[in-house]
Amino acid sequence: MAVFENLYARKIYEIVSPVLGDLMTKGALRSQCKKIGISEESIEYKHLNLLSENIGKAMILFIGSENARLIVNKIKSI
Amino acid sequence: MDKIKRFWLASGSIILLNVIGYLTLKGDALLYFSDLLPIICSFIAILGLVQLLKSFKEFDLTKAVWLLILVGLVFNFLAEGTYSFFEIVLKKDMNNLFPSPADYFWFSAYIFFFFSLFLMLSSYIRTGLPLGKIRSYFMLVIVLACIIIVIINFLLVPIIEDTETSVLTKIASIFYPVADILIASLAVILMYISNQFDNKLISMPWKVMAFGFICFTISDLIYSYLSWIDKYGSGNFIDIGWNLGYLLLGVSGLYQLKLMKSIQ
Repeated sequence: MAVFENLYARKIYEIVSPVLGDLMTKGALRSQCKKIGISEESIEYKHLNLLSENIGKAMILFIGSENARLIVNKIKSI
Repeated sequence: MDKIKRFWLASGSIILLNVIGYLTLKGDALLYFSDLLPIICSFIAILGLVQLLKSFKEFDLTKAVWLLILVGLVFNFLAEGTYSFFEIVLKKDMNNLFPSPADYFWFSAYIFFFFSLFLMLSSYIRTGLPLGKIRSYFMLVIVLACIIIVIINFLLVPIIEDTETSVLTKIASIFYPVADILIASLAVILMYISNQFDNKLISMPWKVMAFGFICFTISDLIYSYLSWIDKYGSGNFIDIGWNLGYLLLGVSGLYQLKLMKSIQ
């Protein structure tokens, strides 16, 4: 279960976890936030674009670019 | 019944048929059966992967990974066909024809499988997703080291030291175990990584594929040994490992297809 206080982290978790599962979604969020120099609890609206693109790139390997783009668009539309 | 269930059912029936055939058939019937069944299994695997690749609308990393597996399978299919042609049509004793033209197709298949698994693993590492516990990798290294030591001592050293074996045969005999260890190591790591996913839909293609490669590896290692001591012949039960390996690769493609359709 997601235990994020941050609204955006919680929303991203809700979108990604049905695909990647709990552990991997948390891992993806942690690593992608780290890449852009923030933590999961400090995600702001301005980070969503870059964050979603990076999460999408991480998901391509499993679900292909077309499906990854669907997830990216869902995150962008939060 | 969905496509995957039908595929599992068909695969189970083929393996059962394989066992019954090997237990009951003799002579030429056994030769034809043991030579033709791998052709059928590899062809079924190709069909599974073609179905998956047809569903991709773009050429991306995922497609590249699966395409490499498909090319490897096509080489395996050609190898099985060539092997059967030499043994059934040309009546060659395949134990005396090693490496045979079929082996060159098998060697090529390894290259594609290796690049596919390597691409998968390296791409996964770049995603930044969790790799798992260091302790597990440490255990894996220890187990692999033990297996490698056993293979070197009981298979590679005797082959290298055998004065009756030609250099080409030695190279071919050594290629299989070395390539198998490489492929199996990558497959086991992928299997471990995929175990971390809670979502079975994501983990199944990787798990099933890794298990398929492990089946190949086990059969190949036993084959290398049996072939070197001239004990491999038609109807040997190690063939089941290859046939099952092909079918598992085919079903892994169908699991990937199911995963991709589940998101659309």
